[in-house]
Amino acid sequence: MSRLLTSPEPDARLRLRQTLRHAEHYLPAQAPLEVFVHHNTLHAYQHLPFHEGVAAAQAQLGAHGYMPEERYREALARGRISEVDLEVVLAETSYSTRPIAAGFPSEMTVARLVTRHCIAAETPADLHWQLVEKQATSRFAAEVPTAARRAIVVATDAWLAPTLAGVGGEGSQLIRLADLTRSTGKRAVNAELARLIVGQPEFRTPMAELGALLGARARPEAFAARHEAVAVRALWTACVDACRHLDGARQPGPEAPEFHRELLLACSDEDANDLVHTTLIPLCASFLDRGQSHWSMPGRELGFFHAWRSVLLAGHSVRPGWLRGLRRRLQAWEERGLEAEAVVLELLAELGLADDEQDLFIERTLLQLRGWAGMFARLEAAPVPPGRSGARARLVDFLAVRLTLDLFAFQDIARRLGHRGPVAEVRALCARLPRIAPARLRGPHDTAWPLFVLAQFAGVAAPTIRTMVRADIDAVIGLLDRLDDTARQRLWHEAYERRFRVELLDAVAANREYEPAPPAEAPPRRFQVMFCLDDRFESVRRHLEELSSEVGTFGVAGFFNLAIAYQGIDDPSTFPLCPVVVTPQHRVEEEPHSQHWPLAELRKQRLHRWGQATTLFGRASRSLLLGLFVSIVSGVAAVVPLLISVFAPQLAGRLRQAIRRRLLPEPKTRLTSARTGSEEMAASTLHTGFSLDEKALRVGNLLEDIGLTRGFARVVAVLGHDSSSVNNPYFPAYSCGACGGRSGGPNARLFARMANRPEVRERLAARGIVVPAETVFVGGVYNTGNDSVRLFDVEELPAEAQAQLPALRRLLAATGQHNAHERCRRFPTAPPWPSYAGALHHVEGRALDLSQARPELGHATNAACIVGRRALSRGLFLDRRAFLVSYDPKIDPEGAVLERILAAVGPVGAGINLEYFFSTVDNERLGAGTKLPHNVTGLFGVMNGASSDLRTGLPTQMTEIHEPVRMHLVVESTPAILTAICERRPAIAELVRGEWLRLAAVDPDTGQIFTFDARRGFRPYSPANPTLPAVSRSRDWYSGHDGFLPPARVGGPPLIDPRARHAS
Amino acid sequence: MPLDVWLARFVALTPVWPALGAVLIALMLVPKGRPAERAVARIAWFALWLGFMGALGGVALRVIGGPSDLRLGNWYEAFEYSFPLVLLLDGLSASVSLLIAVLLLTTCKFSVNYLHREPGYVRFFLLMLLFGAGMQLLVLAGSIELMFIGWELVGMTSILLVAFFHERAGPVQAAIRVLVTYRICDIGLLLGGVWLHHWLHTTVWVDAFAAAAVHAAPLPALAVALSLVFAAMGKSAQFPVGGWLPRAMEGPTASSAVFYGSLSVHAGVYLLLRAAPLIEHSPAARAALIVIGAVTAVMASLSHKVSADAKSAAAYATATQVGLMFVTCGLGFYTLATVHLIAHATLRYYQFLRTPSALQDALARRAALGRTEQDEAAALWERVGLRRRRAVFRLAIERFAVETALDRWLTRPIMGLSRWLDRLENRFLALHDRPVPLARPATLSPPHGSPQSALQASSHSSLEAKADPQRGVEP
Repeated sequence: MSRLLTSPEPDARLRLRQTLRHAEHYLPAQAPLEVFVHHNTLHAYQHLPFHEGVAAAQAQLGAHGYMPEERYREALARGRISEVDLEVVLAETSYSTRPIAAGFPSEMTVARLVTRHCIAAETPADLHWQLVEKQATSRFAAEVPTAARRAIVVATDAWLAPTLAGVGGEGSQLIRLADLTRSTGKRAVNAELARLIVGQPEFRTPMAELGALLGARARPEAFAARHEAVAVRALWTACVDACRHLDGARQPGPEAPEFHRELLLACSDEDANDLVHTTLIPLCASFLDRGQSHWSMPGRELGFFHAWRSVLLAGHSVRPGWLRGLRRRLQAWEERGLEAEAVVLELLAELGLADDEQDLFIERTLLQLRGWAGMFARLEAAPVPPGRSGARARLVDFLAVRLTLDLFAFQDIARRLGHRGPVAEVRALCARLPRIAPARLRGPHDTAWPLFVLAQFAGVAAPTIRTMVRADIDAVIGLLDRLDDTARQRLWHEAYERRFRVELLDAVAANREYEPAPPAEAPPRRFQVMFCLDDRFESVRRHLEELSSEVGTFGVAGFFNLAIAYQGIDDPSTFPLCPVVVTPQHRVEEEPHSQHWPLAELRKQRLHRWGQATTLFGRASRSLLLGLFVSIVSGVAAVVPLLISVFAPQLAGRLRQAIRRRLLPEPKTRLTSARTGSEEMAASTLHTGFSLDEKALRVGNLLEDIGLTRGFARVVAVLGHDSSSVNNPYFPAYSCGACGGRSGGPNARLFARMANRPEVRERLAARGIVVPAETVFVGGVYNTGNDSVRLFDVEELPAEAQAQLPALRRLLAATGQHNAHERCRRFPTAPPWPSYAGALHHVEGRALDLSQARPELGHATNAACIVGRRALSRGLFLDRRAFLVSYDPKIDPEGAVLERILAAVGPVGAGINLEYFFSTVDNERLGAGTKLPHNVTGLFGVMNGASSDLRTGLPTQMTEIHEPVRMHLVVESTPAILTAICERRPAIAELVRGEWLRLAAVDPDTGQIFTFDARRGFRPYSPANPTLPAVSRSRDWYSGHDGFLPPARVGGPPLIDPRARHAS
Repeated sequence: MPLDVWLARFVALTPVWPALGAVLIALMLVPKGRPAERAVARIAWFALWLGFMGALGGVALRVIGGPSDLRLGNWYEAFEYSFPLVLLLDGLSASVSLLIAVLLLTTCKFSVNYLHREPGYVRFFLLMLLFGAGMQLLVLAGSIELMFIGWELVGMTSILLVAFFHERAGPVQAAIRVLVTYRICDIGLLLGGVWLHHWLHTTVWVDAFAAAAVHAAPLPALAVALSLVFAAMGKSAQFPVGGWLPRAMEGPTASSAVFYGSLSVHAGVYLLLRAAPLIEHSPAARAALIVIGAVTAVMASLSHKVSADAKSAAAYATATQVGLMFVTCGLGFYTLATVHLIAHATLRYYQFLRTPSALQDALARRAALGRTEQDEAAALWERVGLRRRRAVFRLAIERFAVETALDRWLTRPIMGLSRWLDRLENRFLALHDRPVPLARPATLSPPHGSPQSALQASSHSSLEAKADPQRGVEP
């Protein structure tokens, strides 16, 4: 005890801090909801190769990294995976092709059979079902091919023949055997036969068992009819005999570490978490709350542990039965002035943890409530600026509270097991007590089962198994153990991805025949439109180009190279509109025009009044006495908005907008983008606007990035990305990821404004980018929720440019309709054969409907990313599956521009893709589960119901149609340049070499495609199928289908084999 | 036959339509495979629409002054007892019935989209229709027995919807909590009926009201009133049995809204209003109502203030107002309570449906008010002295330790006792017959050759032996 009272060693504290920093990696890094950012859910494992990372996550977090095996088998059945894919994937593994033993197939064949037929150890209940109910030991498994059946039957008959011949005589040995069963003089042979076929059954004699196998009576004809049953049973008996020596051995697979909670749970069936979590979760929610509750936790600036201790020591209450002694303990800590760190160290000692166990113990403890612990860690690492709660979130505080509660819970459960001593002895106590669940040991049948099934499919009969030596048997069993669920799923998954890759790369290769690279001096188009690189704009761009050949489109990260802290006229403060990894250094505000100042004031006033009214109403309707009056008065009136917004959501939305327009004047505004003086300022401060040099640099860089350095159209529209939805806590996850989950409109608006400045154009010209004087840039925003477009600052453009705009607007409106039409095919609740206008009407409704859990599908279809000239993908129907990034390799021989692009697109794209990937494959552990019971907590997260762990990742409603496929990054560049970029950029190299994304290169000159894999580097790819189905418009390809569609050529001559065309 | 008789018959069918709809959907589940969402939604929609027409008919009947006491005969009769099928259609039941019909239709419309693709889609609509039938029966019932049937339907469907996501442990635990509370408190309604039979020899509301006025007796009146109050407390989540309400938020938002925001949680208040003429005879029961309601209202309102999640906050806000309804019932302001019930149910329903908007709303409010920090109410709170703030916060966040107290002084002792009895029993058994020997399979199994033994033989029953090493099948 005296050791506990002295203050802990400084190096112990240092170690604790290191441990926490380490454990933090395994916690979800999700920020509060309003700044939702997609990132690799298994980021902690990203330093490992993909499959190893998945395996590590499975061992540590218990999370699955692939789809369930049935899903892959079902994909095979409907042609989503082909047999060829499986074969190719198997061929790339390192299994040997030499037979394991005489008559036994090779490792490769075993791997193929095991994967193809899901041969695996069964749970005891399943095995019982197979053996008893399905009589699997006396008939072949359903899928076993005829050849294998025949081979086994023939081999078994031949094997039994000498035994029977020992009895002597001529004629059919089968009949002789049947005779034998009745003969009393041939007991020895008899018993030998029975031993070979049925072994040592438990409840009857071998002879009786054999009799049962052959039918009630062993009549000769019955035996002849049952020789298949005899062969299968003999095989089973041989397998059981072969595995007998493994009986009682430990089962394969990692042992989960066991500390107090796991041991107590195993011995008493009482979970300490049940006690701890009900107490801990509301406290955490209160502490981190960012404005949901009216009364916040007092003393939050002192940290969670301190705030919690002071609250528990204040006033009077009833102590829960299991917290006996807590008050005294807390008082003692307070008197000794211990803070969280010291308390953790003291508790670790009290729990009796050896030094080398502490890291693992702390990690396991934090993982019990991953979401909450993760939120503490996330807020500690990077406090979120808007809506500061004043809470000082530190992970060590959380751990201190958690361990204190854990200690008392352990004590309480141990008390019920009859233990009164210190908690340190709990583990020793549990070691002595019997466990409720049995240990994981091999039984004779569960080991033999996969061997038995494998032998059936391989056509291996009982004699082969019996002649195998123990080492061979062990080799086979070891191989079967290695080919566990994860290993098989991995093979399946590679095949699943290969099918996608082949289709994608074949399409890209074939498309080159249709879309030769444009000549250097192509005539300028009438309009050029820049979109966000988001996969949702793949279809938008395709439809726009389909509607008019006069339009060229570009894809670029939706913050348009402008990392700004933006404050709109309605915003209370600035918000960073840029990827979350970037800290903006430029502050941009929306300002009303000077003649519109009064309007802006009026707007502000009315908004303020509206805010006060709604706040007051919200408060009052939920309070005690005011609530009585408010609910009586407004309750009756609430019928109207309730019924309208449920039964006519569109009407409700339009009414709301109309009222808003009526009451809130819309002053004309402009962005404050200019800053006088071009000198560089300190990097840490937030500048107002951009200096001339900065503007020219940013505009020039972006134009260079997308390869728009000549051939400017008269009007270049710059469209940011936004998505609107209601009643949706995940709204930032649908909006522009490049703008921190907000609208990219301000960035587009600012970009257009900058690019229109004559001074900027002068500097661009000096850089070699000559923008003709008649070219204008116009900013706007495309809403992917309701497929609408809004253009900004149109009235400031010159008259001749304005004259062009109606045509552009018409075109964009039609694009919206067409895009909505394509989106509707994925919505089962949409009208089945909508008109274009009807489709737009439907998606508009979704964005306004309170009951709509899927306002849109977000990135649910993402699977690829194509970086290159539009010619690479123009006219390709990619089913909204590809991020499209514009890049011109012709003006970038060194790869400097490409490096810039990949440094942004690689991690961001992979982050989005992998978050969808893992949320899909394990929606319960790595995703957020279904949205329906979600409960917005503290305005920073969601729980299931009133008290659960914070749910991180994506909800089912966002992932249910997603195909988990790693991002296929197709870059129009040479392998040499890409290799060089990987050398220079470790962040990209980690993703590429670890295969967290799959890289492919398309040579800009020859069109030759190279695929990359970690083992063999770049390899030339030859298209498997040179033809590409062609349709005249997208609609012809997708109509009537609601699932994923393979690529097709849109707008080309119908159904032409490009190779054939080439030949002619 | 005159119009009002026809109309009355149609009104009597109001609870039947949703029940029929539920049966139809249940029948669709009989063949293998999942019924189509559209078909299920259509059936539910149609059934609820007919129910809505019935409820409208009820209001129309009241307006034209038709009969209020609808006797449809007896279900069965026995010695001195009959089970009357009787509906009571007065202003109270007609208006609440219409409210139910409207909110159910709204829930149906909302859920068609909201639950789309959910594995429990069919189950949800089935339960919602059953709930609708129960709720209408509860409201329109003219006798305690009939009401009890509705009451139980409402309770069972509530519990099954709390446990809607039964693949996780949390919802199931919460549902068990609701189940236990309901089971215990439903005894009140049953007892109320029994007492009423003893006292007035009838449980038909109209007859009982008339008889109670004649045979005034303080003790039976107190017993009946207290029983009914107890039943109402459970359904309406009053002190001290209200701990289940925030936990019940485990189901889909739509069901939380219709059950705990609006209808089910107000069923207790409805019972009080329905039985008001009986409860009025007992001043003690009325005093109890006032005390229970007031305590609940104060506790729930403070708990609401510290709730950091949208659904718990809404749940406590609901409990606050329902507590006030208990007080108004106790004070005898029945019209006020009725209006309050209907208005509050509607408002809260809407607020519950919008709980997923909490973040969007908060951001919009902050933007409008031009501040990023908390508002005046929070500032007021911050001004309270730290010590007092901590004490109040502790009480509120621990929900006034009501559950802790119940757990510590009721649940734990009972569990401890049962554990002790279990150990005792084991010890007695051990005395009587030391290690209970598991009979050897050979002696257990029937003679060879029977199908049973073939089954066992091929099973190599050592599997069971593996699963439980302590049992030891082999000698």
